[in-house]
Amino acid sequence: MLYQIILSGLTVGAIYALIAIGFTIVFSTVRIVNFAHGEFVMAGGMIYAYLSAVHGMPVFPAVAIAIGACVVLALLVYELGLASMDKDNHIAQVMITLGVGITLKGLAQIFIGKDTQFPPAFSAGGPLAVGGATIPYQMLWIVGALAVLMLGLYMLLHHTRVGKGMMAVSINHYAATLMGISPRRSAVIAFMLAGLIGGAAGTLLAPVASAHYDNGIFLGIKGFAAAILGGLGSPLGAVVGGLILGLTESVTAGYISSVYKDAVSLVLLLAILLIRPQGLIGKRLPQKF
Amino acid sequence: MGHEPVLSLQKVCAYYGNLCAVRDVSLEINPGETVCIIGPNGAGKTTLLKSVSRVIPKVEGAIRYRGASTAGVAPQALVAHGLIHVPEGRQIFPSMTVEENIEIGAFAVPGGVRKDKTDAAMDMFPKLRERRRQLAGTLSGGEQQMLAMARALMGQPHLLMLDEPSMGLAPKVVSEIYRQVDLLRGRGVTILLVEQNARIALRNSDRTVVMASGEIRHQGKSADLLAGGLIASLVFGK
Ligand SMILES: Nc1ncnc2c1ncn2[C@@H]1O[C@H](COP(=O)(O)OP(=O)(O)OP(=O)(O)O)[C@@H](O)[C@H]1O
Ligand SMILES: [Mg+2]
Repeated sequence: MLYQIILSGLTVGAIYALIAIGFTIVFSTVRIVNFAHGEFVMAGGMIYAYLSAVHGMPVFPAVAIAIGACVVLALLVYELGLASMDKDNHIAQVMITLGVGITLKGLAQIFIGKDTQFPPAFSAGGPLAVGGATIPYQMLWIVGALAVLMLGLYMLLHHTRVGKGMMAVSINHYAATLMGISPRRSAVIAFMLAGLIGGAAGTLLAPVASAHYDNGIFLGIKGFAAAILGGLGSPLGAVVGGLILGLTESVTAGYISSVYKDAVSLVLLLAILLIRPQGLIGKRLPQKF
Repeated sequence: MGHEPVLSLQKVCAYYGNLCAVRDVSLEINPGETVCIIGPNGAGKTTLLKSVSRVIPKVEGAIRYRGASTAGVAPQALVAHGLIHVPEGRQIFPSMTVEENIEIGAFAVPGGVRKDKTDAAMDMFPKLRERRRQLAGTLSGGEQQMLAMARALMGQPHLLMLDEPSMGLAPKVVSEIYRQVDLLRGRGVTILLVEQNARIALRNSDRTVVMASGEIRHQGKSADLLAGGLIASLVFGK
């Protein structure tokens, strides 16, 4: 029982972590909280489900196309909605991302449909039995994807020119500009990464928890909570926050009642923010331009 | 190298919203020259440098860098062509190490970070070499200014703009910084310097421009101004 609870907590937590990373990358590079981010995750799952159910596409092409579509979607959201916007007009940015989110949800409803769908798991075959617990293969895919994507992100940020530029932009936008780094290019890359990782989270989650046009808000809120819990702006914080949130929910649901799982995680979130307003891993916010 | 000025400004005005912070400034800087701008707080010195590096949106008038107009040019493109701006207040990257800060200075340079250039930058300020693995945010004010300069040199400046490099530093550190400025002048780097300390400014430049309330009030050879004692009356009131 305990094993099972921990395993499912980690799986859900890994999904939250993947969603949280998208919030964090965009926030630290562009200083925008992208309220449409949950819809990227929804879109990943929905497009994957659509391609495999309606077109009978095999798993990996369908997943790749779904993720690619989310990358393009994120790019468009930035280029068309946010790029030319006054970067100090935070209210307008919030309104735009909210509006984009509602639009994406509507588009998914119209073009893909209102049915709840369960696209196939990434690999066939029954669950593994380990000790007293059973582990569906999809769980391994989810946790594995988190590990691979985190490693890739780490390499990008610390060992490539583009990544170092993004780090510089996130620390001090003005100084980065004076070093010849383009904040706008960094923003584009941040949004594309958010689309990629968010879309991946959507495809990974859909086989175990369904794809539905209305899932985006819920997923966005969970991912945002995880990002804040870990410290908005820190990718490692996003992972820690996601896993803690997932575990808290599953322990609460397993030992108390699933009715309370959201309440307990909210209390946890508030408690941690009272003690450490910058989140668990977060540093003080980088200085503003 | 032609005879055209490295930088030429004609009737440049800069605005923050409706506030005009720089008004009708015309100025030329020739190759190898060091020009210093002095003036009281709020005179528009920093705004003028920001106009040249194109980091503020509302700039009117003609600015030409190495013969070409910079209207509509992105700041990154100017940096890539050697127009390097060391901003007021240093603006180092506190959560990166000293070495990472220096390396990021070469971001826009074709070919990227070169070991010999990093070494040369750290040779200028040996303190930085000792602290290369330390987080830049933990450096003292003087060391941060040195880091900001070392980082700027990585960009291989053709025109170097320094905004108040002596701000808040002890005299000993100030002279260390200006020793390096001297070396750069010796190497033929064109420099546009902003200073509040008139004495330092006059001693370390060929020409001095006095600004107040966004306008140029006076300009002349630094040596003449130093001899004439004109500055005090201009800058610190009638
Ligand atoms: N970001 C900004 N928004 C609005 N007004 C600004 C901004 N930056 C500067 N100003 C105003 O523009 C004027 C010129 O400022 P600037 O920073 O260029 O002066 P300065 O000569 O560099 O002064 P200091 O010696 O104190 O650095 C001031 O009146 C200032 O209040
Ligand atoms: Mg200034």
